[in-house]
Amino acid sequence: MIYKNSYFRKELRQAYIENKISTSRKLAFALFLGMLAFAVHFVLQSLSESVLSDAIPQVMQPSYFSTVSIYVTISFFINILYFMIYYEYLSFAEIRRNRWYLLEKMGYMPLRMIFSKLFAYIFSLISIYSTGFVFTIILTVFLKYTFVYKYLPALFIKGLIDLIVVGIVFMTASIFIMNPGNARYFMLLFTAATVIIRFATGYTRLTSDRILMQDVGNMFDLGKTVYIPISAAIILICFIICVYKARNVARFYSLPSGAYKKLVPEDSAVMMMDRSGKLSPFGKGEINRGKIIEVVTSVLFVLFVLSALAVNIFIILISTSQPGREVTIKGVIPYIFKSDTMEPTIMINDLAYFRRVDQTESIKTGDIILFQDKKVVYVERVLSQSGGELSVDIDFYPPLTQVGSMKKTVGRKSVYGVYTHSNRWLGALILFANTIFGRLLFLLIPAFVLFFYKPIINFFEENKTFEDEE
Amino acid sequence: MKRLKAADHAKTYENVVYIENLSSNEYFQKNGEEAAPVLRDISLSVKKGQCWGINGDSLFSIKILLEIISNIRPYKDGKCSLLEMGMMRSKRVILPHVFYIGSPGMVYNNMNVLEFLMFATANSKTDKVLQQEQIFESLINIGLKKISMSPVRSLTKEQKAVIILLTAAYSSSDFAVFNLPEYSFDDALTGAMSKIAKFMSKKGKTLLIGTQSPDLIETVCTHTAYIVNGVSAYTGTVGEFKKKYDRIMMKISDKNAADLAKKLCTMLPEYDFSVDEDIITVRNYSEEEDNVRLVYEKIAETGFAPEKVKLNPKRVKYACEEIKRQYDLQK
Repeated sequence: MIYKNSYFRKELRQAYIENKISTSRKLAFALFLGMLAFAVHFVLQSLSESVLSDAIPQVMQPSYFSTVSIYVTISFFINILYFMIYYEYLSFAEIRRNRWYLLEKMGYMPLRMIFSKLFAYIFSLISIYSTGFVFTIILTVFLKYTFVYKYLPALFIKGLIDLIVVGIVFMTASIFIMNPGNARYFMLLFTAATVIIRFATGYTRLTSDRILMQDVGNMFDLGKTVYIPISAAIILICFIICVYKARNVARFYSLPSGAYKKLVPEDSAVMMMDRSGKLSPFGKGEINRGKIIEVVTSVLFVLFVLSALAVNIFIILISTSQPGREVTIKGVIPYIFKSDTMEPTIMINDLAYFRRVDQTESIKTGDIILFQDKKVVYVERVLSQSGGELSVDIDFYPPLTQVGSMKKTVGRKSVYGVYTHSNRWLGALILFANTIFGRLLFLLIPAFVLFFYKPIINFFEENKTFEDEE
Repeated sequence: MKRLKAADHAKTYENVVYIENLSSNEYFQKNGEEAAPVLRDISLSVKKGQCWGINGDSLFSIKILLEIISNIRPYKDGKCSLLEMGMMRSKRVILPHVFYIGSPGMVYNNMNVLEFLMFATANSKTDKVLQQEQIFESLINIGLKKISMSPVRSLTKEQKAVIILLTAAYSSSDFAVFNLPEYSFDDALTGAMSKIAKFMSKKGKTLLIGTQSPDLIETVCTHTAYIVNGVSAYTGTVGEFKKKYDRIMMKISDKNAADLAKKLCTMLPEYDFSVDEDIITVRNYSEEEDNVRLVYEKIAETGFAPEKVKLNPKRVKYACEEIKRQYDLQK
């Protein structure tokens, strides 16, 4: 076999060792994205009776718009993760590794390499994204939803623009940020900033609207959102910076940070003399910065694991709570409300909180109460009260049911809880946690983080020298 | 155009590196002691086609010196010129005719060795089939056939460094700086480096290696410099270095080594006899040439019949030990 790799072909390979492997891996990645989108669609469908149906109707409805929107979102976040993992190969970090320095010595032109790298990245991005997009549509065909092709081009363009914006910004940042760990933190921050900008410019609202998305022109209508011109400006500016700066940096040899520590005798410190003749520690800033990042990362990880554990314990408590033997936390009974009888005050699958009450506490008319009647637990509203008797009824009778059929009179002694408030999102979270996928996720993530704490921390910190990373 | 001019300039001059009384901006600070420069009054002259091994008691000093020579790091005082051109003000820019090797991360991990070398040399106008044959042959010749098809990511950092050195040999740069003094190379890699150095020398290229390995200098280099306490203790050929500082004449093994050494001390006061277990090391600190015959005669006179007498072929390792010992005594 004769090796005839050009720089462009090398870039197309990304992190993989052979061109063929790279092509098949990219195809597999695209199919994975499509299948993941499909899996998430199914999970969301199981949560349709929750706050999610009101909050994100665009992905909750059984339609092509839902599956494709989920694909576009998943593709955005997973591609960012992909970039973070393969940062070394996809970004301009190789300039900081002095790989371009070597290639320049061998007759390669930096400008050509810059264009090759950018185009190869965008080409790979488009091919993976498009393949996954088509695959998602093909999978949705099996669900027999009504096929509306009009919003597909707009969704496709939306996803592609998002990916190109983050891709080129990450590429540009990699020229300036020497430490891969810092670059990964930047990626996280920029991703969060992108999401905020999308909300702030009305882009999220626009792209969530099935009707508006049927006309691609709406995305470019400045009256509706300025996100696209902002994105175009970001892409253009980053492209210019990449071409100018990468070319400039490629001329320089990048000194590996912190590589000298092991060369200095233990009993000595190295000082640098500045122009005024003053001595200052050699590379002190790097060490301090490294320590700060290490502390921040560790604290964030501890917080994450602790909150995941707290959520788990809470979910387990709620899930084990049974009618008549409810778990009480500081005098409050949390209750997953599995009925629509108290809508709109308590929606189906909301997490409702009831204050535990004893016999001495007074109950007002209009209160929603938790009571037991013939060993069955009910939640109803107090309509009136006389002596020790309360007249109660539900708020909402579904169509085709007889209004007033649930009206009853209960003794004060049967009441043990008064409704205080409810939380729709926690209700949805618990509903999700009780699905197989949710159980796996909530139990596996903290376990995974605890088990792989060290490699994950290393992945983000990487304050090591270039040689250490090899 | 600028690139061409620099390359042409490189071909014109014999003096590749010229350093005079160079001092560094970096200082070593020990507890309670006054800060001492990492490099002080260093002078060095490297000619075209030579292979230099820069050695010393401090890895940091070696690293800094080679960085200064390569124009990566500024220096405080003195004169430093590359190919008889003054150093550029904008540091970190390595001149076109210098190939600097400062980390093993310069190679692509997602290729195999042969593929990487083909990729690196892809801009040459040679026919690809022929080119691959030549590269493969040179990998065999330098003893790296075993790793020729191995993925770069599976190589050790030392192996990667040698692959980069081989790339430098194929480049158009006339001067390569191999600044990895903290690495230790096994015999196979040292052999490979020796062959690469010879190949480079044949092409008129100059090689500067930063190392603390006497064996590497012995096998690969024609010249060496030794820096002790930031000061240049020796600069010159490897042969002269060994001759000047390796004072060991021979090693005598005998069960009664201590008694034999005592007798020889009185008979040959101009020589130094040190005993370590059953081995006597004979050193000649005089200005006179080693007189092996005389020592043999005196041994015979003592009546002892040593089990083994081994002549020292003069080694860089002993020379390094001696030069360091001398400087430590001066402290």
